[in-house]
Amino acid sequence: MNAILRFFSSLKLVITCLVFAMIIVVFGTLEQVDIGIQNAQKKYFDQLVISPQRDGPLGGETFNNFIQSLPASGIYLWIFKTVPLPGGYLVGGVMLAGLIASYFTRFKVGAWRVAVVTAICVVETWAMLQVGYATWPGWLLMLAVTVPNLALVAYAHYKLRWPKVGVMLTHLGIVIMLVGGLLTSLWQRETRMIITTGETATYSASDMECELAIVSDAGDGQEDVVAIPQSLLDKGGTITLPNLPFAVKVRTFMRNSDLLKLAAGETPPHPVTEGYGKTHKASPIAPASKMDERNFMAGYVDLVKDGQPVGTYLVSLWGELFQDKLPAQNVEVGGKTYALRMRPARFYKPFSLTLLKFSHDKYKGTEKPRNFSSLVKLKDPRSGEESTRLIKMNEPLRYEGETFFQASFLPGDRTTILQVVKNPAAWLPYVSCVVVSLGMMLQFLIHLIRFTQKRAKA
Amino acid sequence: MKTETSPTTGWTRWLPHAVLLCAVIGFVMSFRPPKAKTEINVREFGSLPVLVKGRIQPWDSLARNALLSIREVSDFNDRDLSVKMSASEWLLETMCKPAEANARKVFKVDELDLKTLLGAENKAVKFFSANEIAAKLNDLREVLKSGTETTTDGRMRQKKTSELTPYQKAAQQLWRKFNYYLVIQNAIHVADTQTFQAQMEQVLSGAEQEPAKDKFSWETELSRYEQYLPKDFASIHAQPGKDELTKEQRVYFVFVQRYKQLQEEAAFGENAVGITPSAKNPDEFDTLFESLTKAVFAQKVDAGVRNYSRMVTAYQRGDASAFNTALTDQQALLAAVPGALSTAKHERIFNDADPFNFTITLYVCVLLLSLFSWLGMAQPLGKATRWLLVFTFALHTAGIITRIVLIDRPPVINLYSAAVFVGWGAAGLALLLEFYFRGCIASAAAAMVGFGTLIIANHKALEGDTLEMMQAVLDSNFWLATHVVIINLGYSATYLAGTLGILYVLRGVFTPSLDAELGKKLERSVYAITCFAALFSFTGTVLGGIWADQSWGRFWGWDPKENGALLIVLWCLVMLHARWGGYMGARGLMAAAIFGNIVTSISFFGTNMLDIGLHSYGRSENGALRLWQFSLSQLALIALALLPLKWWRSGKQLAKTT
Repeated sequence: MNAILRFFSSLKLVITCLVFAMIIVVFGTLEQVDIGIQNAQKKYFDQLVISPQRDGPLGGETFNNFIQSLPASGIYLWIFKTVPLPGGYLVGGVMLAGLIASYFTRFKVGAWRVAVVTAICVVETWAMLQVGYATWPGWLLMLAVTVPNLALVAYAHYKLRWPKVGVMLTHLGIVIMLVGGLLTSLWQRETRMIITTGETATYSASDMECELAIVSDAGDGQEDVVAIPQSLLDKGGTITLPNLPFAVKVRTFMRNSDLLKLAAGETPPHPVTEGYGKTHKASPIAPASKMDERNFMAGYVDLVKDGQPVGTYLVSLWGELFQDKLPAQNVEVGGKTYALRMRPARFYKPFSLTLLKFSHDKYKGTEKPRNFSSLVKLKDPRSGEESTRLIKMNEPLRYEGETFFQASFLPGDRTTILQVVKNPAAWLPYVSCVVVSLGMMLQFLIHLIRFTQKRAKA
Repeated sequence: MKTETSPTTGWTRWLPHAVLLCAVIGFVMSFRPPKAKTEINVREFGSLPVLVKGRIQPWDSLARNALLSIREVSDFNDRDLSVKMSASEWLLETMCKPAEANARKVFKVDELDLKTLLGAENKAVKFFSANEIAAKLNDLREVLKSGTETTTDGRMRQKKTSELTPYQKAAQQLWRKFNYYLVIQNAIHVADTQTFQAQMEQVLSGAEQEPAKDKFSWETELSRYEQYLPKDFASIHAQPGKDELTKEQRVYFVFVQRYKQLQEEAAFGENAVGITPSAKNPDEFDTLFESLTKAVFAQKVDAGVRNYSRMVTAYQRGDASAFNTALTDQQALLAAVPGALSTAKHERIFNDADPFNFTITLYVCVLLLSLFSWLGMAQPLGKATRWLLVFTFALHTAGIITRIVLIDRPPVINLYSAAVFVGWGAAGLALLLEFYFRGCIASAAAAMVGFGTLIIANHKALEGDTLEMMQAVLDSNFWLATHVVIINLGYSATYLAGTLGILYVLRGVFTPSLDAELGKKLERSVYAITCFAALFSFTGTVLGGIWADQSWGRFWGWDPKENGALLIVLWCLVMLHARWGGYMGARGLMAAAIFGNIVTSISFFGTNMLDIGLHSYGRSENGALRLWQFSLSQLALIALALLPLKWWRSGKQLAKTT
C-alpha cells in the first residue's frame, strides 16, 4: 500500500503528468485547424489513450505537412504516426490520484481524515443529485466542508508549518478543478433555442443528438409525443414503448448520412412500405469533422404490433429539414394517426420564452458588432411568473438551473439563437479558483516574509 | 556587496543626476510641437474629430494610421526629394490637392515581382505613387483574379491565405491599401471637379447662357449642388422616363452619379470616415456621401461639409486666413457634440508626445548603463541605471494610463496594447527585484523585455488603429480589467524569468563575471518570478474560464488561446515541482526559464496564428516564421545553459558553491 501511495505521490510522476499534459495540449491545439475544436477535444482530452493508428497522426494533417517541409523530418513523422500518448482522462486521472495520495504521504494528513473528506464529498454529490443541482448552494457546502476540515488539520498538526497549509490548499483546489472538469464532461448539456420575433418557444434542441418522435393528436391543439433517444436507436433491436400500441424495431441506424433520390429502377435498400423512403434512400457518410458541420442521422425502422409488422419506414434528419418538400410520414394504427419524425433531440421546459425583439447593433460605419440582444418574455405557469428579460452578450438569463446565452441569430435579424446550457458542476471552478489562489498567495507570502526576515538579519 | 562599497567621490556623485536630467530634457524636447511651415493651422486641423470605425478620433490619428498601414511609418519623408511632412500635413494635401499628392511616392512595396509590375527599374526602389499604381490597376486586377477560385456551385471566392503566393498576397494588400487611400482622399472633397464641370455644362448647354469660363472650386460645386437640389424629391422618382425630366433635374442626376463613386469606394473596406455630426443624432457622424445624400431632404448642404469645402478651396489657393476661419467655424459646429473636440484634441497631444517611442530609446539607455556598470564604477552607474529605469517605467506607466483615459477601457484591448503592457509589467517586476538585489541584472532584463515588447507593439501598430473598438463579445470592462490584465502580468513574469535566465547563461558562459553570490541571487530571482508567474497565469486562466462560463456557459472550451494559457501554467508547475524535488539545479532552472520564453510566445502570438476559436484576433503574415526563429534562438541558449560547467568561463567560481 505504502509503495503504491509513494508511487502516486512522487514528484517525478507529477512532473511526468504535467509534461504529458503539455504535449497533448500542443497536439490537441494544432489539430483543431483540421478537425475543429470539438473533435480535437474528443481525440485528445476526453480520451484514455490517443492512438495515432486509430485516430490519425498526432497534430493533424496541416501540421504534419508543415513538418514534412522541414529538413530531416522523417523521424518526427514516424513518431507522430506510431507513438501512442496518454489521453486527457488518463493524465488527469493519474494526477488526481497523485494529489490524493500526496495527502497521505507528503502532508501526513492521516488516512481517516482523507476518508472523512472523501466521504463528505461523496455524500454531498449524492445529495446534490437528489435535491436537484440547480437550487443546491453547492459552493457554500463545499466551503462548509473544507474550511473546518482544514482548520482541523491545522489544529491537529499545530506544529505544521504554515507553508504546508498553503501547498495543501493549492492542491485541494486543483483536486476540485479536476473533479469539476470530470463532472462537467459528464453532466453538461448544451442545446439551442431558436425563436423568431413574436413567437414562443417551450423547448431547446440539441445540435449533437437526434430523437425519433412519434407524435399523435391529443385534442385541444395538444400533442402526445413519445420520443426515442439516439442512444437507444444506436443500440438497435426492438424498442417497446409505453402508451403506444406498437413497438419500433431498428433495422439500421446511421450517425451521419446523405439523403439521395433513388435512380430510375433502383430499389430501396430496405423494403420500405410508405413515405419518402420509397423515393429516397439514406446512405451513411463519415461523421462531421468541421466546426460548423453537423451530423444528419437516419435509420430504417419497422413498426411492429403484437409481433406482426405494420410497416417499414425511412426516418432521416433531412426529412425534418425539408419538411415542406417531403411528404409527412403518418402511420395509422388502431384507428389513431401517428407521425414519425426524426428530429434534433428536444428538451421541453416547464416555462416558455417569447421573443419580443432582437437587436443587432454595429459600430457606425463598420460591420463590427457592438451588441446583440434579445428581449424576451418569460412565462412560468407553475409559479405564475411573467416577466420581461433582456438577454445580451455577457449578460445571460439564468432560470431554473439553465442559462440562456445570446449565441447567434439568423440572417434578417428577426430570429435569435440562444445557447441553453445546463451544467450542475459549473460552480466548482469558482471554488477551485478561490482555494488555489488563496493557497498560492499564502505560500508565496510566507516565502516573501521569511526572505525579508533573513535579509534583515543578514 | 563588494562592488558597491567603494565610496562615491568627485564627479561620479553627480552621474545619476546628470543621466536623469538628460532623459527628462530629451522627453520634453520630443514633446515640443514642431515649427509650423505655413500660416495654415495644420495642427488645429489635425485635432478636429472624425468618426472612423465607430470611434471618435482626430484627423491626426486617421492620418498616422493611414501612413502606418500604407507606408509603415507615421510621417511622410521622401529622402530623394527631401520632402518631410507630418501625418496631418500629408493628409491635408492628399485630401485637398489630389494632383500633387498622387505624385508623391507614398506606398511601400516590398515584394519584388510586384515592384516589377509597377515599373520599378531596380530592387532598391521601395516606394510608389498613387499615379504609378493607378496606371497598373488592370494588371493588378489580373493578379488578384489568379488568387481566386471557382467553387463547385460556380461562385468565385478568395483562395485561403495559406494557398496564395507571396506575389498574390502582396497584390491583395496593395489593392486594399490603394482603396483605403482613395476613400481617405475623398473624405471631404470629391476630386476632379473640372471634368465634372464639363459634364454639367454639356447637360446645361442650349437653354442656359454660356457658362462662366473660370474653373469651379469644390466650394462652388457644392453651392451649385444646393441650387439644383430638387424641391420635390418624390416627383423625381415618380417621373417615368428620362426624357420627361427637366434640365435642372438632369443636372441633379449628374451630381448623384458623381457622388455615388464615394459610396462604391468606401464599400471596399470598413474605412468610411464620418466627418460631420448627423442632424438626427449628433453622436453619429455622417460621411461625405451620407451628408450629400441627406441634403435632398434638408434642401441644403450640411454646414460641416461646407466648412470643409471652404478649407479645401482655401488650401488650394494658399489662403491661410480663409482656411483658419473655416477651421474655427468647424470647431464651433463640433462643439455641439459633447466631448468630441476635447477627446480628439487630447488624443492628438498623445500622438505628438508618442511616449512609447521615447520609452524604447530609454530602455536602450538602461541596458547600456547596466552593461557599463558591470565593467566598473558599479556604484554610481548602478544608481544612475536605477534612476533612469524608474523614470522610464514612470513614462511607460503614463503612456498606458493616458490610453486608458482616452478610450475609457482597461489597459489591454488588443495585441498591440498587450505587448505594451507585458513590457510594462516586466519592467515593474524587475524594478522590485532591482531594489532587493541591486547589481543591475534585473534592470538589464527589464530593458531587454521592455525594448523587445515595444518593438513588437510597433509592428502590431502597422495593422491598424491601436485604440480600436471592442468586439461585442469582449465588451466587458470588468473582465478586461481582471482576466486580461492578470494573464498579461503572467506573460510579463515568464518573459522576465526567461530573460534573467538568458543573462545568467550569457554572463556565465562568455565572461568570468558570474560569481557564486550573483549566481545565487539570480537563482532566487528566477524562482521568485516563476512563483509569481504560476500564481498569475493560473488565476488569470481560471478567471478567463469564469468569464467564458458567464458569457457563453462553457468554463473551458479547449480554445487555442485557453490552451496556450494552460501551457504556461503547466510549464510553471513543471519548473516549480522539479525545483522542489531537487531535480533541477541552477543551470537547469535557467534553461527551463528560457524554455518558458518559447512557451509564452506560443501562447501569446502562436495561438492567434491558428485562426480558430474566439480569440483569433490579430493574425500576422510573417508571424509564424518569426516565432520559429525566436524559438530556435532560445533553444540555442538552452543548449548553452546545459554545457558542462568546465566550459563556462565563470565555471570555476560557480562550482565552488555547488
